[in-house]
Amino acid sequence: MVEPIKSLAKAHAVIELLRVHGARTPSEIADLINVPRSSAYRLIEGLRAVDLVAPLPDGRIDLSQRWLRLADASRAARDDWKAARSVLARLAAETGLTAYLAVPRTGSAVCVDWARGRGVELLILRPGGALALNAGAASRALRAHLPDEEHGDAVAYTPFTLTDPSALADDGAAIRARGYSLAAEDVTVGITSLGMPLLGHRGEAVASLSVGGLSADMRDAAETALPSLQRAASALSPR
Amino acid sequence: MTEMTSSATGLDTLRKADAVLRALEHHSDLAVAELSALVDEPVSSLYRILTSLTALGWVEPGGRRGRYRLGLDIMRIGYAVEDRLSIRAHALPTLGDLHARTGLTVYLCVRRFTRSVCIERVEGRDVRSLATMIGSSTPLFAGAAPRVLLATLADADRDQVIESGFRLDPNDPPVPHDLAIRNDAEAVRRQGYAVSDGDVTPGVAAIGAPVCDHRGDVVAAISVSGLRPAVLGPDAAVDVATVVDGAAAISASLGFLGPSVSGAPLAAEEEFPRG
Repeated sequence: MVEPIKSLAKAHAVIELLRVHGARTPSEIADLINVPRSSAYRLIEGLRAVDLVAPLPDGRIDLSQRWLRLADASRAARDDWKAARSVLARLAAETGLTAYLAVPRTGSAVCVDWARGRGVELLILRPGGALALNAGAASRALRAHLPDEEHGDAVAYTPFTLTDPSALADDGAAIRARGYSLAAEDVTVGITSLGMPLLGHRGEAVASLSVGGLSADMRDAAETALPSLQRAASALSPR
Repeated sequence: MTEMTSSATGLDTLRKADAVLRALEHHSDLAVAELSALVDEPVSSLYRILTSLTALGWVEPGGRRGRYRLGLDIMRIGYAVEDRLSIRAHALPTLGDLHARTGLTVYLCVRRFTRSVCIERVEGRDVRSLATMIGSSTPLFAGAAPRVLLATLADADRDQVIESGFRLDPNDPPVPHDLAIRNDAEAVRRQGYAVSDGDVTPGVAAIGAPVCDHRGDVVAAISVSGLRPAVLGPDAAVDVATVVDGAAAISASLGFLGPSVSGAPLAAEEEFPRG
């Protein structure tokens, strides 16, 4: 990777800081990104001028709402998955479960699209949301088909999350052998998901498809939802 | 290079980067030459900005060769903004203002499955309605705010709610006929507000209107409620426009740019800013 232009790298650092920590005062921002206050003020003013940050009434600086529209535009621009919209909708309709498309990004699985199922409104993962690669069927399907150095750090979301390296290695082998991942209550207690990787030309995971629902509804999912998931995966598979 | 010129260059770079983000926001993906024309920047210096933005994850190579689009990390930032967006916090100033102007009780409600849940209320002087306290819920067919929430649901979701029978509580009013609920929902959706006249508590009336998020999806409803003469009739302290405008003000604070909304989400296509 080339070294990004300094001013943009600093602007990026401010935005990342606000994304992770929420609104902060200008002097907190200066301390956290380690620049003199005067430069932090100039940087914040610059970001404000282009509407990437906005001041709150109490003087703290927060991400602007423009990011909501940028995020929607970014989602809409993912036309390498143009077919995914209708495939996800069919998968959700056939199974009654919420269907997700996720892609790997720096040690995590990022949801890029979804279709809501019948049942309850589960907010496990929305577009733009990310999970560590060790938790959830979408993540674990990706992890099983990515090289070790791209696995990222394991995160324990619930007492049922797999974090032990050898347990995760076994899980990866099992997923590769049977072709799908099954994740029970490892992101949210009470929720189970079923996932399948979409593999690229070199056998690496480029995305995953998954469905999730209440564990009670998912008890027989490996039989009932699997055929739909398989059809959806082969419809989207780049190979 | 002096400190002065280096910071001026920094802001200039930020402005150029912003122009790139704006162009990509409105064009899904662009080749470098197209971007160069749109942001009025020579290809050589644009390339430097694109390389930086790509390294930072805000821009990425598009599905097609030689083209760029907004990066995946932008979705993650938008997710964080959406996650922290508190409807209640954004609505409070408007709720307070509506109460100050009308003296009536103002409610903020969101849908939970088949019911409307009150998440905020600003007290009126006349009556203290026991029917709708914070945290209490009402089936979606009864009351101005609940009926707005039902009317603005997507058709399939609305059918599902109606077919479910609303999961009634012992104190709920009786469920009207399906057809009556559907006709009411159509009317409310068409007019963009709901008037309730004693359908929850006899003698109490309310006017409700939808609040939507930046996508134009309805995420809440507000209502202004009081004794019938204070809400309806010639000497009413409130009118429909006041409530609808209040709801629109909350929608705007949630990032909604479009006109008032009902039912299907609007596709708000902005013009790409020139120059």
